[in-house]
Amino acid sequence: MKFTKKNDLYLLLVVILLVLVMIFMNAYPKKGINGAEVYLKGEKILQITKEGTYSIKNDEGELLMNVEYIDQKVRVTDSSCPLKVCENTGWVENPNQPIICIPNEIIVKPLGTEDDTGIDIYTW
Amino acid sequence: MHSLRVYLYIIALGVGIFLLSLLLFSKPTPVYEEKEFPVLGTIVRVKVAGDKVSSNVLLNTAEQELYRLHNKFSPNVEGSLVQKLNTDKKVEVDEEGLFLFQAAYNYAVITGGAFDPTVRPLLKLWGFDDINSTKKVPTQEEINKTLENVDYRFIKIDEENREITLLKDGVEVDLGGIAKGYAIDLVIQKIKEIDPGATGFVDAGGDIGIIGPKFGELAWVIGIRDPFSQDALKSIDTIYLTSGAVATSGDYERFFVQEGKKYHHILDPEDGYPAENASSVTVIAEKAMVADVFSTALFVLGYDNPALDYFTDFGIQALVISPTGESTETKGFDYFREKM
Repeated sequence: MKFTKKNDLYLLLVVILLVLVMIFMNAYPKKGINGAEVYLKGEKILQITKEGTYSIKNDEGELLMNVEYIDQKVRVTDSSCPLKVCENTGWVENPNQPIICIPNEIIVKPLGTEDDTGIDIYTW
Repeated sequence: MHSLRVYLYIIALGVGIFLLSLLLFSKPTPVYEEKEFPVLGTIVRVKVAGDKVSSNVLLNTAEQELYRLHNKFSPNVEGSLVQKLNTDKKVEVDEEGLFLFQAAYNYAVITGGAFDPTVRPLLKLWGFDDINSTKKVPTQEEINKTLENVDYRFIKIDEENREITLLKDGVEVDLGGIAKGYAIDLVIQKIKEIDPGATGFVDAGGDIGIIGPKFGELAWVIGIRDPFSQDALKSIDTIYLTSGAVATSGDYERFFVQEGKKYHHILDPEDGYPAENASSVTVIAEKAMVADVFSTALFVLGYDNPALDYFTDFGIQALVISPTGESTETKGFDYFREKM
């Protein structure tokens, strides 16, 4: 019996090609996030999935901050806190890194598949 | 004969693709759950995957422990041990309270007062005691007067009667530099008691304790924040930990700007001003409490600290970055840059 026919080679080529495509797809995971969750005092108060600017208010209706979600990135603007650490965090597109506002007790947590090649945690 | 062979190949191909996709796209088994808690003057993030116990049960344990410690040791919480001590100048403590006060005192001795639990009057003067306090640069006179009340030797610990006393009026205690680390260690301990195989980490405002390796086998990749960048996600270095803890003190954490000059929250108990001989200090240790204390103390001692390597006797490794961007480190720090 002959084992190396021309057709067999084609098949082998297809398999190798498929493997390469899969490896390629796996090596370059999609960047960016697909939304964000907003927590106020530990409670989830908002789930953002559509692009836009969302106002976060306290129980008295005073504006605490605006959360912008656009182009698979999220950021905080117009925060009422004194030091603006949350605003200075800037645009976030890594689901590993929430934006935190300690005075207002707000956490903006980006949603998405975690980037396994990158950094898990930051020490600061 | 020929068609049979084609079928065989198609089946083999199918099995091959199936196995490959399993290998490439399957997620490792542990499922991580995470939750944030606004306690101890920061936000504590716990990320955990249980081995025998559900991750949510472990998160609830962490939550209980964190709020318990918050109510017990925060100086701004009515009825806490520290608040009572600061108002009554005397407080009775339990075993845990005694341990934490003794630890704070001992670290003050070891660091020659660079870490000082009685720094609170100074923090109040500058407005760093609470996130909502007004921040201002005090006059030299105010600082001199306040410095008279800053010395850890004003704390008296009576082990027998389990009593802490402040020996001078005006002295106030803040365990902030040590309680956060202690809380991290205790949460990890409680989680491990319930589920020894649990993995994950506890992140209290950038001070991190490891519960167990990522997915049970990988090191957690930890970025050290670049002290010169506005971007909180820019790192200057990367370390890998499967256990233990790391803490960083930086001049970018809490600060205010007055007349173009930046004033940050790590005050030197010696002269009463923000310590200016470092821009960030990262300390790796077995326990988060130790890392927490030494990151503050080594920051105060500054970049040009000739005794840096001496501190490795206390089980720490440190990386110190100067205000101009040079760095110096203890001999063993490099070990943690290796992916284990």
